[in-house]
Amino acid sequence: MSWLAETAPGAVVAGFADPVADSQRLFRALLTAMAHPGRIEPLPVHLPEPQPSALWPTTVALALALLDADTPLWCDRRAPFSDSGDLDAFLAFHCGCPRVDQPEDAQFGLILVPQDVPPLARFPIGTSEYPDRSATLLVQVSALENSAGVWLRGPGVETEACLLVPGLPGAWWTFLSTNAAAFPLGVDVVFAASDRLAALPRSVSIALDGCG
Amino acid sequence: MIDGLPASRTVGHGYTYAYLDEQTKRMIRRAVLKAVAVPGYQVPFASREMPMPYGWGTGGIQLTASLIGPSDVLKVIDQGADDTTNAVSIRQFFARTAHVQTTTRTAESTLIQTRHRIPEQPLRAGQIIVYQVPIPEPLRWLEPRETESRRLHALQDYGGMYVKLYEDIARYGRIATAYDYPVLVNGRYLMSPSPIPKFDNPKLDRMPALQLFGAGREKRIYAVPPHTRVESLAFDDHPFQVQKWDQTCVLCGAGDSYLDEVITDDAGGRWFVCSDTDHCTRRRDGGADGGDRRP
Repeated sequence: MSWLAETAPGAVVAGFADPVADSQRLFRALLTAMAHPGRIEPLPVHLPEPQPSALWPTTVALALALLDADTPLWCDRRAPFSDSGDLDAFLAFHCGCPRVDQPEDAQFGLILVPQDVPPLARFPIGTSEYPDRSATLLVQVSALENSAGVWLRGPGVETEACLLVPGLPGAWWTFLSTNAAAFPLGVDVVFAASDRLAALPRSVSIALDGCG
Repeated sequence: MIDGLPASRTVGHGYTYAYLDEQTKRMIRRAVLKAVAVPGYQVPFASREMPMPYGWGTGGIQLTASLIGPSDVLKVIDQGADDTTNAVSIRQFFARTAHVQTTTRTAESTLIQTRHRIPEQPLRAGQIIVYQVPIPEPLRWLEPRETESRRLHALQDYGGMYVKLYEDIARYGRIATAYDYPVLVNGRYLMSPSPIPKFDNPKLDRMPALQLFGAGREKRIYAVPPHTRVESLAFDDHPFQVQKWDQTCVLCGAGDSYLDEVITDDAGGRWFVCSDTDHCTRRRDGGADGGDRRP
């Protein structure tokens, strides 16, 4: 029956090879990244081929480990975009997360093309009594490096760290530095490159003058 | 092992890996990430019933179950001791359901679940310590209403706690709070460090390990990321001070560790021994001796 999987339009590709262990490994890598803002963690799992064409393996792994029926998702690429077909089927089958049209309704944002800056200020930032009721943004980026980029300071950073996200538009950094200033409100951001990830929780303060 | 299923699906005598179902783990993991992003803030979570009563560490055990993986080395302590009923049971629970290696050695562990102590040996970067918390809200005894204590946190209005400490000074001449001593995390959130003795409070500050706190009955998770500032509340003229003893441990002679008092007879006889059994054992293995102070 394998020809069915290869030929049926909209056939869903496989998720984690070992869902329990792979979710745990991915979560620990993400927790380490979140607890050490700017630190780049390698992707700790290997995903079976093929994967949805629009996603990096890291993005796939983050979606599989974090999203489920309890997490309304806003994504910048969905129908009628041409590349969204297998992505929509993948998320519906493996995660079952409700899809929302307005960023205000989202608990997670999945941003696959950060060059087209989404309406970042519309994601929930929590309330002063419930700052946890805020969105987490999963942002797919071309690369992540600990070199000339922005300076990071705050909880989880011993002295200071620097992070470079090549190709991320300046509007993102402007948003992220104001996001940090709104602490304890704000969104938390996870960057996913093809084989690595890094996180910027709202607690980190960001200095935009480049570091060496 | 059932053919065709990965090992992680079949360990544990029919239990799901690490006991909790995957949906629950995802929910707890999302709460942990929020807790790390807002240091000291108590994130509500949908605490599950566990195969043990509330008060025995159901919050800590749910955190551990959501974190643990086959490559972890788990240490569990109860009041510093590895060999008490609660610690032994929780260690066996995870050895059975999560197939992890366990240890009593602080340095060898990657994950430590603790009730009411922080190990004497400084924790290193990469380790995670999970605290069992009975009452996560430091303002609860001052303000019983959840709606009001939540508003006080939102407004960062912690004056009531300073008044409570001041009343101690007015009544006893010193701050009498000896455990669960309130701290301020990264200059923002007032936090209960769980009922650790205030002797351990200085260890919270800028600890290289990640600290996670779980309260099962009260359904709260909170966190202190590594290298984060944690100040114990105090006054300029009444600075924060930890307990000191005139005695040393009768087993290892330690004069700088937290000591438990053990009554040995009905004639007033008593020993003082290290509360941290691993610390005491390591010292004795290294040749340290409490000497003739042992009755």
